[in-house]
Amino acid sequence: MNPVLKKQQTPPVVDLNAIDNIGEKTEGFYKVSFDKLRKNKLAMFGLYVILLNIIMAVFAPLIAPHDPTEMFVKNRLEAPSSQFFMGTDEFGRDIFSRIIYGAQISLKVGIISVGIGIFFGVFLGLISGYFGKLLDNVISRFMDVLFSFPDILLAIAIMAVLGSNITNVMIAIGIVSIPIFARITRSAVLSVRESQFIEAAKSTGVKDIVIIFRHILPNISAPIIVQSTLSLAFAIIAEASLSFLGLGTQPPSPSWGLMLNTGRGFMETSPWVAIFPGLAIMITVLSFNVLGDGLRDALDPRLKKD
Amino acid sequence: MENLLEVIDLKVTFPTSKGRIRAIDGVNFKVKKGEILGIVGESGSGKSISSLSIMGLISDQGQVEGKILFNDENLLNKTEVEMRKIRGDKISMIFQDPMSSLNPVFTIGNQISEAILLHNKGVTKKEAVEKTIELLKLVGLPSPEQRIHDYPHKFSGGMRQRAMIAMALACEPELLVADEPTTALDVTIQAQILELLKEIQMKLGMSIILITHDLGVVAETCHRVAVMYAGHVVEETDVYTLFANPKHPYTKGLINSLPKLGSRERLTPIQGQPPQLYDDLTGCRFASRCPFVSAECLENEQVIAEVTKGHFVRCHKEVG
Amino acid sequence: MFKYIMKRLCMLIPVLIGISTIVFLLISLIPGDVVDILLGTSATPEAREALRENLGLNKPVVIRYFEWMFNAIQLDFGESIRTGKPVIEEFFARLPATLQLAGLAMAISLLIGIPFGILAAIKKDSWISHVVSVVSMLGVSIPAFWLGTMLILFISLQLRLLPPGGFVPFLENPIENLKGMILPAFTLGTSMSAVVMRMTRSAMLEVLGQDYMKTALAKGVTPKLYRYKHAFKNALIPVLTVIGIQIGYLLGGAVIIEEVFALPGVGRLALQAIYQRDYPLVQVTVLMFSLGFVLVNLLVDIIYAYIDPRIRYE
Repeated sequence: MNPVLKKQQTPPVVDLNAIDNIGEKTEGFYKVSFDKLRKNKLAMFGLYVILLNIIMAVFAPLIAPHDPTEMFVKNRLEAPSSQFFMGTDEFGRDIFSRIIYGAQISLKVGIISVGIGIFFGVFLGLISGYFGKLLDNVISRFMDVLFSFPDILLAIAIMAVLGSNITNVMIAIGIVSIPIFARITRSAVLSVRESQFIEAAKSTGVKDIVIIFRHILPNISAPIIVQSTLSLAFAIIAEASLSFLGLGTQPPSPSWGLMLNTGRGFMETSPWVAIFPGLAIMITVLSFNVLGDGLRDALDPRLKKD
Repeated sequence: MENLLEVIDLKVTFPTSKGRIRAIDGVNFKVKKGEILGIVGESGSGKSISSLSIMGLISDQGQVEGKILFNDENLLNKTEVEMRKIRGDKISMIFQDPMSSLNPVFTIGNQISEAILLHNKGVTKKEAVEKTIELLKLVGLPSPEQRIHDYPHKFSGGMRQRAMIAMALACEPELLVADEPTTALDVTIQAQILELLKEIQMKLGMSIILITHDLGVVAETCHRVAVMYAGHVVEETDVYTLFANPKHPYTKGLINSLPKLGSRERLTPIQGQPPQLYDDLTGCRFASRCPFVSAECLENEQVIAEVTKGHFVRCHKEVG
Repeated sequence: MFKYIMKRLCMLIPVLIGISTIVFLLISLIPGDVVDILLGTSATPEAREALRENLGLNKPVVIRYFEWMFNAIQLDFGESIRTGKPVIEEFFARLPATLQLAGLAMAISLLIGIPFGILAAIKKDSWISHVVSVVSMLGVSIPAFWLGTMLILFISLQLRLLPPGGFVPFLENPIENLKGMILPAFTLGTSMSAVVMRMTRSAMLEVLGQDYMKTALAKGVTPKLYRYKHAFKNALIPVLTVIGIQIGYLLGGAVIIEEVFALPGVGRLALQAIYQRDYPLVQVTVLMFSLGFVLVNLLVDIIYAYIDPRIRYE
């Protein structure tokens, strides 16, 4: 078969109808997607739990019954009761209050580190996908190298170098999140770049920078939104893991991972110290995962379901 | 000639969120031994559903009623295990898109000899391979001894369709159902494949059901034709009568929308869209697009009837 | 096939160079003077000089880089700052526990993930399919260190069924070894089981909808052949990719799981090295983990090509 013909016959990766929808009538596309998402009960459950988390984090001082650092010396390691809804830890601090404040840390680390990942990842993916050639090769190989480290291990190694504190946790998880965004952006750019409306824009002399921001970026937002949600889940679990290992946030911070780690020491006598923070992590991560799944189905039916 | 296959009042319905769809609604046709029957219709007319019903491959949600008599035995009464023994052995099928109809991770030889080994107990692998090579020769594939070791992605579309035909012929079936076997192919290849089907039919003497939307294919290949529209057979006759003396307005419309060689006449397409096949349909299904429509057409559904010998039409105007 | 493997091996070279460069740079990127961090400012000048010598800090970074790479090729990664023994020896001494943990975890996840994934795809819309979806969602969301902790709490401490941690070498006492490994391997394998299960399910569903599956039916194949020969071999292709990626999570997770269950593996060695700022030891563990990940993925690629002829002949 004629290679040119063959190329034309392969269906475009990006649905041109979808592009129409995203390009000008942004509202329409997102409204349709949101309606689809609303029908997905599991995803909506995830969304509500995340909203609850945000409310917990923002209004922690109003919601929490106690100060997260206040030590009730007489009530050390007390089992859950009406006064201490989830019991107290080894210093007599209220676990329920600490979990509410802990949501602040999880969300902050999640949002900032995924923000770092999106910012650098999308930037690198855009330029390597759009300009191609040597630049693309260099960036792509570098991303391959970053991908070759098991991701938690890379975060651990970065923490080892930078030292343990919450800022470095965000930097480390941020760095680990870059390659996936770069890869998704690059492949999305590659498929959009060849489409006719970009050709048309180029042929009328529109500058590259304008094409990237006006035409390409809006068209790759769907996969990036989906990945952001899934990366948030990863970031939260990674923060908890690092803190659990003593490489992340430091005491007396009410990080869920840290609380779980100290709780391990009293497991036989006071299991609640370890049980509740773990539940908090699991429910939050689960919510982001189911929301991410739902978003993927709603925003892009052409992406594979799983 | 004896009937090999007789489809009697076949109905297939599927549940959807908007109600049941009557994909096929009382279809009748026969295939005689050694005959090529064409089934023509646009997409959604039910021609593919008819062929899948014959194969017993309608999905679990689909409800099938009526009779499909194959050698006087009703296939709809057979168990899945019995049908499995018929499929690929007595009745086999080839599909529209040869590019996606072959399993990409097995060699061509493996896929064809599998059909032989499935239906012939006692055949050794070596014999199956020999038979496979023989089949590939029959369908005109060059150097089959080497090509049996190739994977499908190394074959062109035409070659894959030849391989599909070889697979369908593996057990010398009495009936071959070809569902749009040339639609996905280049025009020159189309002609070759049709030629091959005719040739094989003559050589092996089997019957073929050729499903197509292309009247040109029918004219070239078939002995008799059934025209389907919106889940009904609207006209059934031999191929000469169909082109010389079409009775049903839909058939006439189809023929009129074909370009004629040397004629500069404007083509007259059929206006409008076929109806959606929900339960609440009344009257003739072609009524909304029919230039000869009358009040009767909108009220009563006409059943198919024989107007002249061997010429069946489903129209009030013709049957009265 | 040989050509394909050679091609993959060549593509590995820049990645390996990149990995080792990053690992080398790890130490150079430490803010402040490493010697100060390690010895404190009150150490004697002789001790400081000796440590500089050991870490090679008294030479320009480029020279150090080439020296380090040259030694690394010969598996010489320097000596441990704390014990003075070659770090590679320490690494190999700890390797068996980690290998056994990762191997068992992978075996568990494949044994759970693939059969249940297939079952969920075949019995689409049945209760088993829903259970598989829910369990796999939970499996990827549950923090491994918490799951491990809970298993220790309920199975070891309360029910006293299995030991809560520790490691007995397999050759010393196979039964005790396996008893000790069940919980850690299950914990580590949970998230991978979930991912493999999801991928198997969706890949099977996709394959079952393909045209060539209709061809198989029209040929009259038995349900067993239909599922396991025609469908599964195709579905295995995306599943393999996911397995390759999951090996990374497995290796990273080993660090955490070894800590939870007090297993003397490489992951725990790496953590100790980090706590003690034993940088050569950190380097060798990170490098070897990544190397392992890359090599496993190479193996996956080769199996991939073996199954999918389209890749083999590219």
